[in-house]
Amino acid sequence: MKKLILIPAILGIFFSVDEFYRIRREKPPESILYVPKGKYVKVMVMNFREIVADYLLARALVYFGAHFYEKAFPYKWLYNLFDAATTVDPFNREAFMMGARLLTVRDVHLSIKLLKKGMKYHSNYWKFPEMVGFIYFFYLKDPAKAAIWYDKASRLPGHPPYVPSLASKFYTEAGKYRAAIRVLYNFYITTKDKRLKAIFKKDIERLQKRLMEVER
Amino acid sequence: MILEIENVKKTYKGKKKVEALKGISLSLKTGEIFGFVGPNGAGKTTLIKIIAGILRPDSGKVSIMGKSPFSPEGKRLRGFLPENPQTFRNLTGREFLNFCANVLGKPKETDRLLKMVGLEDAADRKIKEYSKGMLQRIMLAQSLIGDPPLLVYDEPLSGLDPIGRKEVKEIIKELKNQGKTVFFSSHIIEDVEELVDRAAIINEGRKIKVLELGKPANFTVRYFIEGKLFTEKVNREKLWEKIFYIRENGEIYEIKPTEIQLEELLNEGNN
Amino acid sequence: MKETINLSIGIFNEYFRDKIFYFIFSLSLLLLLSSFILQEMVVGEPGKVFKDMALNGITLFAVAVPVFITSQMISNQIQRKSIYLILSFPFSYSSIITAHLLAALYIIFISIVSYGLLAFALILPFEVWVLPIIIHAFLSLFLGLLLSSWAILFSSVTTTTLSALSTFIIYMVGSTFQTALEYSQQSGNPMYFVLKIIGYIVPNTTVFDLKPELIYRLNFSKSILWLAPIYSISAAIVLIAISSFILSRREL
Repeated sequence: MKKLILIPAILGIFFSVDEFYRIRREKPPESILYVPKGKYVKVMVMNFREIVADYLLARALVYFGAHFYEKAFPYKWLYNLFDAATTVDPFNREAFMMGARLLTVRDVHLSIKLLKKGMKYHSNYWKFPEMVGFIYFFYLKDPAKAAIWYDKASRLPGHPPYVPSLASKFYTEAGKYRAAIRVLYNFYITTKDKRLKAIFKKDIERLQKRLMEVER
Repeated sequence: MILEIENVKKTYKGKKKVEALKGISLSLKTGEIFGFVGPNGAGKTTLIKIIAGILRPDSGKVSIMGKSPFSPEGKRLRGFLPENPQTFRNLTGREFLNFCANVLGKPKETDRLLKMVGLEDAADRKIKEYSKGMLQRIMLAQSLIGDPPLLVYDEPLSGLDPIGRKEVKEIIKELKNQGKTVFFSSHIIEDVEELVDRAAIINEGRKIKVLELGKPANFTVRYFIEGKLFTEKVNREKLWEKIFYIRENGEIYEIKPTEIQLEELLNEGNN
Repeated sequence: MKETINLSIGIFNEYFRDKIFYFIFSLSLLLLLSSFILQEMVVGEPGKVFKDMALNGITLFAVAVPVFITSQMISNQIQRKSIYLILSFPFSYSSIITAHLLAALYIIFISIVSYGLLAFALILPFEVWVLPIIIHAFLSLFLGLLLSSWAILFSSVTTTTLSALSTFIIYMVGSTFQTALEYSQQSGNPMYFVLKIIGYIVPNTTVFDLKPELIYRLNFSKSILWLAPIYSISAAIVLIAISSFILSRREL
């Protein structure tokens, strides 16, 4: 008598498993789950910082690629990933640059934040202030601030000649002729390239003329 | 007959086949204490497990007052004490007895049983804190729940210190006074001699003989005649005759029942 | 039936007092602590860590109790020989197995409810999150029943360690089964039909797992809520029958 209960039980298994096969389930949104905070990762990974930083960077790039076309692109996560990667290994300049460029897609302020963080570690690297200047000029349409950052870049070693010339151009646009002349003059006296000296001399003279006209 | 065992056979089918019981027949009268004696590995525990309804025999018949020991009715007619009993460790003695009564659907007589086995003081301690003797006694109490007429005990005296043995023996004697039938196994013949009315000797899965142990069969008599010490084994029927003879000729030094040696009995059986 | 329940309460008492309370307590504490640490260590939606920890913790109890406790119940008693007492009671083998399973279920229920309440309290500062926890706890209870039935089966066949290991393996197999099925279906593999047949035997534990749906508020088929219990109870009945058959054949 007791054994009869096995019949509905076996039927129950077959019925429910068949139903399970039929049920279609929604896929959850692909999620980054958790982004670890860089300072904790740094403690945990010990001597393998570079590898972990590269891994985080790779994850950030994959994440960017996967979500680029989404409307509600959660760029905050992207910043967190780059932040973590650059905290673990702050000597990888390319990580800062890459993050800054990718972040400009949605939120340039996060780009600037990342670059400013990079400057703390690489105070002699001209590309960071140059990139900040570019963001102010191109995305935020603010030549005055752009000029200040290009100016900063032009005082760092290794910068190409277009940096001071752009700095002076943005100062001029903002109406700060004296500052524009100073930037050019600084480059004029430090460079040894005669052809460049000639070009910069012409520019300085042109600006001085403008300045006198304006002051009159 | 309260318990009848007819030609029970059991072979363990493991990697090595072991013929534990080769056809055993026994029957117990109501109100007797029956000892089941044999060396280790004789098949005592196997038979007890079959009577307790834990192990099924390959062939043969066992009945407790006409009921199968495997049926719930049969199981309710006997109390059981396994060998080296182990049980719930985290219940207190009182909780354990209440639990058993609950499970068996019998009235709770916890206090009476605790008093009977002398565990009133330890009733609220956890069983895992019990000594071996106390564990044996709480399990004895468990076997008495619901007042079953037949009690089946597997080696109730093994592994106990002399005080523990004495306590358990007292309990078994008390049970006899209450009119219970007790079936217990042991490998120590002195224990059996002291307690039982009848005993079956078993070896290698076969019953060798059933002894009436109420009165000793032989006596050893030591006496002085003309200053010399004699030692002589005397049959019970001829004992008085011998005593009169010694009194006329000398002095009795000692008369005591001859101890039955298990080995002797086993040898007798084999021959 | 009443006697089976009495037996199960005794078994439950025995196991619950045997460090199980500490087991549940320390595991909850560990989960709680790790959710705080995780919350501190990662950047994300506030409260998400606690939600994840709440649901995963409930699942953990539904898996840990069968693996660590239920799998020992019969085998440990056989090893300690305390099984003789229970076997000598006037019960059928199936009632003995059922009583053990019920005792395991009580332990799972108590641990899930106590942890669920704790998790609810933790999430409260962020959100009143009741229904998802209740739904998940309900399904996890049946997951626990299913895994416990397997654990009891292993426990009545083999030793304590092996049965714990086997229970864990059957859980692992069950939780990867759905993925294997989907992959073989996508690739049009003939293995798909073989797997589908195996699916009637292997416990498909993914159906008890609505975590993504609950956390991300996705739609899910409500029929899971009654199919999963039917599946779990039916499988438990069949497994009880198999275990009691095996136990009755064992020469203890």
